[in-house]
Amino acid sequence: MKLSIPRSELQRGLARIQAIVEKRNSMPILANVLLRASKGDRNQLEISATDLEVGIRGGHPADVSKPGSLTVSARKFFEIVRELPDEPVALAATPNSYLEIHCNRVRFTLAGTAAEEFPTLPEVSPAALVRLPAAVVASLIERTMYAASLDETRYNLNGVYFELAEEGAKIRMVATDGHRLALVDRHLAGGASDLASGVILPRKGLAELKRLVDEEDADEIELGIEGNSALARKGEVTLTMRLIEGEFPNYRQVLPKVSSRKVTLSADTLAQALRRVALLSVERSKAVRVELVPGHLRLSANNPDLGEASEEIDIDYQGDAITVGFNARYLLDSLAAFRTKEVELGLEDELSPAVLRPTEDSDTLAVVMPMRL
Amino acid sequence: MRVILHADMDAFYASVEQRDDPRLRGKPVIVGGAGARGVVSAASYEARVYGVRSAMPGYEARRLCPDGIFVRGDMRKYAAVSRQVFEVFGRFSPLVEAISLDEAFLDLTGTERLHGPPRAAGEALRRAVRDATGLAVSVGIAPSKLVAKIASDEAKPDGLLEILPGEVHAFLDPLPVGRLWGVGPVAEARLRAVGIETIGDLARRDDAELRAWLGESLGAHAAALARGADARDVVPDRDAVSYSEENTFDTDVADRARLGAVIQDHAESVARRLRRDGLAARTIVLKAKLAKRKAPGPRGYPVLTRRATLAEPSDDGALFTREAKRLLERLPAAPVRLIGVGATNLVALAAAQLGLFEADGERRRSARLNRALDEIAERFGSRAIVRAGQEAASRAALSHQRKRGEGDEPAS
Repeated sequence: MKLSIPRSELQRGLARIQAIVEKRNSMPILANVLLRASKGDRNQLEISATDLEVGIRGGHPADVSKPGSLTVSARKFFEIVRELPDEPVALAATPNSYLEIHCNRVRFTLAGTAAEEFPTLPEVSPAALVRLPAAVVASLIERTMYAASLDETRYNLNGVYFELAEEGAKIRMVATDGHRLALVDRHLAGGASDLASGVILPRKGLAELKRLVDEEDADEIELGIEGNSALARKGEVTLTMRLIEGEFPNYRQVLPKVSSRKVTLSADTLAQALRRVALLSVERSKAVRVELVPGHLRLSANNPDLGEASEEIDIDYQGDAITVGFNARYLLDSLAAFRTKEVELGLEDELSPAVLRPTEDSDTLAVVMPMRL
Repeated sequence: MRVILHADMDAFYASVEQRDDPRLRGKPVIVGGAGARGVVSAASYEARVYGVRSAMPGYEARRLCPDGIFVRGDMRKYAAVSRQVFEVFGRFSPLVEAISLDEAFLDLTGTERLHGPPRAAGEALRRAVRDATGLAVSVGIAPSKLVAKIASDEAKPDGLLEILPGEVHAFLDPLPVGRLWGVGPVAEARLRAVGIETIGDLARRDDAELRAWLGESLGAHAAALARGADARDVVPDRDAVSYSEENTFDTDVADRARLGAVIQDHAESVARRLRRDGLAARTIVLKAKLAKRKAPGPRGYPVLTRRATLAEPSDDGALFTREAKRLLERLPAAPVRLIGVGATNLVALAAAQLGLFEADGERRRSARLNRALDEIAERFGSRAIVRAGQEAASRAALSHQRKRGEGDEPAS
């Protein structure tokens, strides 16, 4: 393998795969990035990484004089490239699996491992790819993924449920950790009926997908879901992920039908007040009391070791008084994910969930179960 | 150095009765002990002159004190007075550990600036209890729980005794060994047999000897305690490790349906107390004392316990009842003289996150029901509303909260 590639292009490719490489030491080679140079109809350097669940492969134009492949430490290679002067970088594999890196007058020799030992990426080739606006995919992920569970024993909640409705004209994504739930609907002009419905996309894969659609040049993304895996493609970059096998809970039955008490207020004001009051909540539970009284929303918290805090926000509310406890973190997560000016908060009673919606988007909602105070 | 205060109401139940009924004043009043096998819950000082003690069988009390006035006892009233008393205790320290309705440890360490020196705080506490309830409380103040408790005993009735750190040995040494925590009549007799009469005698023996005479666990502790070494902390009530309630029947009961009804009563009551204190239990314990004695004496009845671990901590009486009744199935079908339900392995539910799915819906429904039950009980008393099939335990069911650090025998 021998080639030359602009430093910025190489850095971009390496940055993209950093989150994928395995940090745990289960299989040392998974900490490596696979470099594969090809010549012919495409002169390119392919940069890929996988943790066996999620994989990314990106093609980068390069001046290839000798095709070939090699794997090297993804992190170390990235650190080196980041520090190189902004000049073309010459890469060459030695017969004993070292990578020689030349850039201007800088020279590195980095120990590598032969490409043959690298596991193959999950190979996915769905029959059909559906084109989706990158902004739509971004908002679907951003407004749901935060609610997915980090608890690995609840593996069926470690992802986001994906389903189609209205004959493929509507995508719905739902995530929950058992205590709160996030749901977003997006209507599609083109329809997406070629995608499998009722599947669970893994958090890590979605985080990568989000990074991809957030890249500057992303207008559209191609998505395919079939069998037990999903594939997303943006230009020369392909992301594959294995779906989570398991049953997603019946989320429909926990969507509150009504909230008898609804108020609308500034999302920023609410978030700031929550952050302040939560400073004196009990660290582990982050419990705050949310009180609706005519004319006010009152937040309060107390920690037996520290003291108490409270704050009042003026609102247009004339119903009867109600107090419900919540984990401030859950409310703040939803507000952060909404990134909206105004939010509608619906409460029923102290044992029923709160429903939060951005006022500009009735297709997004968050359901947060209370804490018993 | 810590400052521990032990406060113990004088002849609590009997004093409440005498306070509320002038005809009883100055007379030997015995609470409980009625019926064929009732046990004395409390005896006024006038009755104690005759040798009547709490936990004594009723027939024995009647023999010792034929002129004694036996009163049935009203746990609800005592509980109400107890709340007033503990409200007073709470003014003197944030660290109050209730031992029973009428007895508590307070950690006064560091409260000098607020309440003055310990003795002054103790006197102020005694005055405040009398102002609030009209009742006398005796107080012991010492560097450890053990010594504070013995001191309050020595101070009775209606007195205060402070033992300064340098006085501990002089105070303990002449006392009989039976005054030590954990040294019951059997251990005491065994110690006397080898010439150990006083706490001082005990303190001078070495641990190996004591372990041989008293067994491993007590032997290891006894000498340390005798030297006044007791590092146990005052554990505030919210840290109690178990809640339980039990009753002794007038006549032995073998009927499972009747036992089930009484179990339900205890389970609901234990659950209500957990809810009041914002706690939930992981383990339910059923305790039964069989009617058929295995050995002579009051301790001769075999006590059986069965325990069940819940899938999740709970404060739901209906669930406790289900579990306790299931445990009842695991007991031999013999008549019992005592039945009790306990909840242990407690966790603070103070801020419990509710869940969205599965059993959570049911749990939420029972939480709503329990809250309504609690409100009714709060306003109209715990007997105002009961679940179908729930039978009031036939006599005043004595309730204990057993705390961390206590032995197996409930404090009385």
